[in-house]
Amino acid sequence: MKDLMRYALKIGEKLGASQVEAFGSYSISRDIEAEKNEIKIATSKTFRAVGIRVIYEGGIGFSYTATLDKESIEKAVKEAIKVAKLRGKDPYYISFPDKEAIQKAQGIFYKETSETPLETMVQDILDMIKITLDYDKRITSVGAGYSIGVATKYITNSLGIDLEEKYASSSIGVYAVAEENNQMTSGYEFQAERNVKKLDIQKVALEAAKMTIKLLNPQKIETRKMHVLLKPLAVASLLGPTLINSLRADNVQEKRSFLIGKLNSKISTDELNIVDNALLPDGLSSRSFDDEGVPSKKIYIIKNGVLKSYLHNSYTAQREKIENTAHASRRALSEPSISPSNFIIEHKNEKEIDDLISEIDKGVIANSLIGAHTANPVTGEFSVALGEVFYIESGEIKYPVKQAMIGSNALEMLGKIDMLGKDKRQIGSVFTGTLSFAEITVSG
Amino acid sequence: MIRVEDVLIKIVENAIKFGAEYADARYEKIFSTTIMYSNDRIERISTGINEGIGIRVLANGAFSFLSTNVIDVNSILQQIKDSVKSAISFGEKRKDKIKLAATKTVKDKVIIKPKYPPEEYPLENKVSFLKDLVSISREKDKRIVNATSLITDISKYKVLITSEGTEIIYKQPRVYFGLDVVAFEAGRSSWFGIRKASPTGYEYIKNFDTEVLSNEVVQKALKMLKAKPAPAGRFTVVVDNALTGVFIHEAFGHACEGDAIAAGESILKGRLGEKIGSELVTVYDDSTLHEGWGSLKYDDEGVPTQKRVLVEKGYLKGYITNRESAYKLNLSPNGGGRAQSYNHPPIVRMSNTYIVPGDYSKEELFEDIKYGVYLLGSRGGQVDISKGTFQFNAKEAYLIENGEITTPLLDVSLSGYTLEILSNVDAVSKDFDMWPGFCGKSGQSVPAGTGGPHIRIKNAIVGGRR
Repeated sequence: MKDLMRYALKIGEKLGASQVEAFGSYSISRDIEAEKNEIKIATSKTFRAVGIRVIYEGGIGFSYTATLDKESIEKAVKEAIKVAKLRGKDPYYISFPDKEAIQKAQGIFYKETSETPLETMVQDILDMIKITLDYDKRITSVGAGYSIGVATKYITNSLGIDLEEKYASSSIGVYAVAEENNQMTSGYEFQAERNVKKLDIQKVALEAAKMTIKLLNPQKIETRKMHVLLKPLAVASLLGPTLINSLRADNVQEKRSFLIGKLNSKISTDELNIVDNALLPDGLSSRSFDDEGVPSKKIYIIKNGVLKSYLHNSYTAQREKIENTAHASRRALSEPSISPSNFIIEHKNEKEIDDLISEIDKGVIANSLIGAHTANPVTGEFSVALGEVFYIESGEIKYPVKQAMIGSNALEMLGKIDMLGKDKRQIGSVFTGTLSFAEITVSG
Repeated sequence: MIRVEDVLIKIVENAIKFGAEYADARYEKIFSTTIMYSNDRIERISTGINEGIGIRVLANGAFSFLSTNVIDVNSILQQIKDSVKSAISFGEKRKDKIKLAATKTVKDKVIIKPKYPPEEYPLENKVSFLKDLVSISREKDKRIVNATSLITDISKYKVLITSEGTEIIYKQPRVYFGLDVVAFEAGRSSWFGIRKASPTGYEYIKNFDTEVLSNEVVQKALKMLKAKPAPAGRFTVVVDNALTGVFIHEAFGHACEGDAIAAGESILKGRLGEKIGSELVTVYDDSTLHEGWGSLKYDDEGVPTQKRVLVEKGYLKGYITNRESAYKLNLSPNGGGRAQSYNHPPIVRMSNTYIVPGDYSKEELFEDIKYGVYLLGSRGGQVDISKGTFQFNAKEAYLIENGEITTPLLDVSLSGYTLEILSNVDAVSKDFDMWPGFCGKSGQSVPAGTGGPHIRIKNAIVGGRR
């Protein structure tokens, strides 16, 4: 792979590009899936591809190939130059990133993860199914999954960047269906870790089973204002298409963000901090350098409720002539985009989850959101159904709720955060506990 | 030069030799371009070719699937050997062996030849179409602070070989484009966009007048600057054609998918023949619609597709099946096994899902509504098929007051309960239209068409904040 990438640099420079960059990715994954209490399919996938960027007469060009031989690489370089010509001189972009010293991220690759035997995965899945089924007779159908992945990314450019890094990932999940009185419900739990040894099949299976049984016999609630507690999965799915989308500097610069002009102004309650730390040990989004080879950083996004930084890649940073925050992210098949690394939510008013619930007079607690991807990414408006919801009254969880919806705006929600649970976990990029929002209208 | 078909035949023959009862191999070569044009420049562009092979084996009643884009036949044959071996070992653990419902063997070549194939249409022309949409939109009104247009095209060549003798060669182009604008005035912004798509070539974009399209999008965005928060609670709603499609796809279509039924995960399991909605509601999932966005002649298991009746006059009539779920449910496979690409195994999917038009005029739907909500267009939705809870989102919404369409509303979604909602549909209009979308399931995204008439739904939950 590296030889072909260096070949791309040579060819590109020979054809007149002032700078060339090759980004390669090579991933191998293995996955077992069970459905209706039995193992159904084992999947193994291998994928590798190279994306090539050039700066040609001041214009940026890009193309990719998933066929890795000299001929295909040469074709892709020529295509990238053609695209650069078509695009013309870029008004803002001067150079791909320079070579800089890299601090190694810790806990991103574990040999144990990459070498997990198939037999272990099979046995763990069977055990998870058994634990879930044994928990309660009303559980009728259990689905489960176990995935292992190893990915290597390679970056090389004309300015001397020549990097590669290997990442491991593992995850397990259980989905359970329960039936009673001709009614059905479902619950689930999952865990993702860089280090496979941290996966806790017992805990995941039991949590899935418990949640499922608790959700039986849901009741209707009246439409009214109340506290809304969103568990980590719900928080992550809400922030992704709203806050995070609007934090991307490309969206800010192109006026597709509700955070335009809000830098250094208050956008949340004083107690809230959000830190983006790409070097978090064992973080699911940790990496030593971003997808353009720029060293990882730890930065404040929100400090004491004040917006401190947007998320940049080399393009958006050069456009504004400011320091690159190193948030370039890409697949080999596309130009670099922007995404957060480990997006960590902190709050001065942090409590054990039970203590948090005990302070709620009237409210709901939801595990997930249904339809969060339909949020308006530019204005932050959203209208979603709550998933796996329970009604809270006088500090106690009373009963599962049949249907509930909330409609609001991401900025409005940020201003209503009053507490954070200590039940912290990482869902994708977002690292958070349960977030409590005061005075939200819940439709029932 | 070795033919791809011969390589795939060798692969499936070896899989059988290694002990598989069944094997299929799919080769795909995907040419694709994506361009995003924002305000005054090409913001993103990507062109290239992706090819690879996906191989599925069934051995001892269990599946194994492998995909790779490293096309080295000897290495693949070695991997197949391991793949069959692992399926055999899982099979040992299964009480209930997976079997495939019978299907006839097919040998066919389906080459869709567009006038302007995506791989031949000049990049310059693609860009100038996008540039037109953007510059016309920006010139319309000073309040338009961003216009972004995008286009994705694909030309997919695929070959399917099964150990039962099926050989299908399929070539399918697709063109998908959109325009989004952001309007800004007095500290408030709004965002509105449209998506258009066709399973053809670039002749498709010649059907559109960029002036008319841009104007429509700009006017809607400007109107939305005046939008007010939606009411919260239960209301009578009227839903337009596009949203009716997404409604039926989310509220009902997913729960009719054979894999979920067979696994006991869908709230509609065991309810075939039951009355589950008003007699005004008839629902089809039709893979055979002419130039339908989700249409296909054969699915990715080589099964000929068809027009499936899911609901007829309020009665649940059918499920969407692949070969595996059809066997378990003792039904015929009806061509619902689709894969996003070579690196995914086929799973049960919808194609073009719609509600059949009724007798009302569109205007009649609004007449008796004292206070309700009119919802148009869709950015998608989601469903929990075991609980029967679904959500779907409108791009545009208005209050209905005394039969009149009045105040524009900020982003609104509806939610409901699958087993109740179709009984609440109390009027279905005569008009009809279909819309293109992408449907995500188990990490796979496939083109899915949705549509129908205008419908009126009583007692729907509106996610607002007043």
